[in-house]
Amino acid sequence: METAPLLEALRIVKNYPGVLALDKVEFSLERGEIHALLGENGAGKSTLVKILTGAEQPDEGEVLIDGDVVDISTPRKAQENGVAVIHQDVSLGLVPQLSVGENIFLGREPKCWPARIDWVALYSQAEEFLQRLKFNPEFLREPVGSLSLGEQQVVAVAKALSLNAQIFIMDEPTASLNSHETEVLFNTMRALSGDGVGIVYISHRLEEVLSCAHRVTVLRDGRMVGTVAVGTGVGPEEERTVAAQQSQIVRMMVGHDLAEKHPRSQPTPGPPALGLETVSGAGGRFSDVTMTVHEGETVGIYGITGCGSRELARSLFGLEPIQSGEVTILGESKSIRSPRDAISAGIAFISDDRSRDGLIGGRSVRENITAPILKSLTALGVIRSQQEVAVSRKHVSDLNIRTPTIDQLVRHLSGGNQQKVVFAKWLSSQARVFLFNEPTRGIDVAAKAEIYRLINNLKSNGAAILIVSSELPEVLGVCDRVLVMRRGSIVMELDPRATETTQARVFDIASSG
Amino acid sequence: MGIIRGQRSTTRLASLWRAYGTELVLLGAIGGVLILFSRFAPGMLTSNNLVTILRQMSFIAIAALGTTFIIISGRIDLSIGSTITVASTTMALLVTRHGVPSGVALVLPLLIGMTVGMANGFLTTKARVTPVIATLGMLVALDGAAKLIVGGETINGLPKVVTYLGSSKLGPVPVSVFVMLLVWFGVEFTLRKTSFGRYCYHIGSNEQAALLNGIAVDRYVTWFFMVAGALSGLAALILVGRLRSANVNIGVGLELQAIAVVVIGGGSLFGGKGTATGTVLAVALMAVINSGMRLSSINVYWQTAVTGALIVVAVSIDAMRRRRDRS
Repeated sequence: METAPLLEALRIVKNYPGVLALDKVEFSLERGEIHALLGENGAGKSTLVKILTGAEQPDEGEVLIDGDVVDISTPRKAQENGVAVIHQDVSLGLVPQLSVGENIFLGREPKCWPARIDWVALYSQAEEFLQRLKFNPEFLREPVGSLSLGEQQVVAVAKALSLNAQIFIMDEPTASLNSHETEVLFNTMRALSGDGVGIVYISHRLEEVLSCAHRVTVLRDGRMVGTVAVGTGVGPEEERTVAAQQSQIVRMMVGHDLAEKHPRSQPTPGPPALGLETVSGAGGRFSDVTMTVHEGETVGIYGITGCGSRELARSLFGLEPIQSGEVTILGESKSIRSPRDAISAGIAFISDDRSRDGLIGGRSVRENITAPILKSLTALGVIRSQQEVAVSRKHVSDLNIRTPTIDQLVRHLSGGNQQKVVFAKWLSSQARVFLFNEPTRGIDVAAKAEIYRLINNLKSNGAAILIVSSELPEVLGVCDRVLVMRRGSIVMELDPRATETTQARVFDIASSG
Repeated sequence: MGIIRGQRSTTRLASLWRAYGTELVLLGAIGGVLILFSRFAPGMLTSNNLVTILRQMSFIAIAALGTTFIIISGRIDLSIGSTITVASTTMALLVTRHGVPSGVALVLPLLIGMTVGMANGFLTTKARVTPVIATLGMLVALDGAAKLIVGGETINGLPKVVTYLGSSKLGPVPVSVFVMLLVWFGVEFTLRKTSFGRYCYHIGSNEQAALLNGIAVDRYVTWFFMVAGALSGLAALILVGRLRSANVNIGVGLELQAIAVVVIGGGSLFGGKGTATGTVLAVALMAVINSGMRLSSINVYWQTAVTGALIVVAVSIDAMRRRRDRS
């Protein structure tokens, strides 16, 4: 008799008012398997995750663990059945001030009589879990807050292991990790799968999925499109298969071929629009940065998290102080001390944190789009609403923002459409220099392609674009020139079209030293 | 397009409810309270009593409309009551004892209020003191100042010009009611139709995003405090006119009443929410309840308890909405 899979979801149906979120979805997970779940935003991934973790109840269908129907109607029951969730935001479950060991056993510390914590036992048991995950045991007594986000994810995994979890559901765990941290997490996942643990892995990053998963299941509009076994080999003859698989999966996700994932239009460089001359930031986050971005050109800055590129972009928008050096905008030397200075100099800024910096979620699409130019739409302080409506309608249709009306609250849009609203507001501002900080973070493949098209449009209209990104395919696919930043300094300029500019090489340059 | 399909099609009624739900509930409550008390208190629905209710509403509504800006922008102003005290007593003292012309006395409370607001704005934006502490300090300081200036006495004998707004009538309706209507419409218009009002909501909803949109957040916040101060001054003028006197206790506790009605009217202490109409309707509700209880000879201290209960209900509704929005 065939052994039952570790986890099996059968004919899951879930209705939300007005939308069929899951339509007879089948999913199975074997022991030791890493099974990726892919799909655009709204495809039903998160609903399936919620059902598997007990946060939601299916309307029809059942969940089996080891061949038995189990009751996972609450998160607690899911946990008792060996299901653990690792969220993108690890800070939810960890206490930054406590050590790694303390966090793993928080609330379940081994005790010696009568009520004293048995530290020796605690740390030796915690060390076992870390070793199982091939994680450096030196961190055992370090406070979790001093670890990188990727390392914190591993601690969260160790904590779940100590609760006897057999099934790990990882919901976009790498969304806020850099390449190195991602690698740390992947090693952990491989160690787990070697131990016979099953992992459901959810991510937007196709490259990652293909490098670690055994099988991929694609959901679209609440239905299962299919499950594909993927090769995890890295040999040269497999490069082709990986690429073929990648385009196959993208097709499954979006339902049609994306001509090119990262379409780069021809640059038409004009005069310099943004010039930096030995610019240094406060606290040495970046130093002596000299660079130029021309009109009609897209320049990318790639670096691993903490290299200072994020701070550089923020400083150019007046969000963090510039210590020394000269910034030139369209030929004029400017001193930028606040976002207001930056905006009046013709700079637009797209933050890596949409909901915190970019959007006012509780206000309408219309208000968000016109916010930076509201003053120009007023007469004696009174908003000319017809003009405001016209401006926002135009941008909603130009950018293909999917929203029922312009008065919809931004909070209710999907991530990709929210990002398009951020774009719209800066398009309306007539800025000439665009600073993009992780412009496609957390949005799906189709929306990414649209964002890249917008970037190309801006470029052909003569805007100067600086993209700070930690996604290599993005930097290499969209930019005309790529600068590599390491420890606060620009260390190299690369031509992304050149054949010797491979992802591996750029990553090496950025992370060495 | 999956995103659109995923959203519930909102009927007209539903969107009306979303936009004006608080106002409709308050209107219903006002009607309910009027009908309820008209059974126990025969004088409740007489035109005389309704005019009295309106008159009692007017000064607190004006002060609360100023506070509405503060609450929407995510701040708090605890100095409203003592601003009213200082503005009333200083004006009364100067006009009765120091020969200050009545015309000057009319604008004096507004100027005092604006000055206090400017100081609050400076403390919170430049010195970066949190609004609770800054305006609490202001409350205590102004309270002390008023006691220093007038001591324990009550100042009477105010000229007619000064008491006009608070005690005269145009036909059957007190002038102060017209002033309240004017301020109400002014604030409603400002919040809905002007960039000043729009920025107020934006700053209260997401200050960081507002800053990145290029809004001079500090300057606007200072203006909000100044508007609140000026309207406190106007409220002071009406209050003095109605009482035809001023003393150091004239404004005690009014800041809490003002904040309470803004919250009952749909304002959120987390910022970003609140309307002029909601605030005025909440003031009306409180006035109707108070009037009904007085006419039914219910112990006046129950009024305080009822206000407290309404605040708790309003704040719980706000917290529930926030939870729903987050999920």
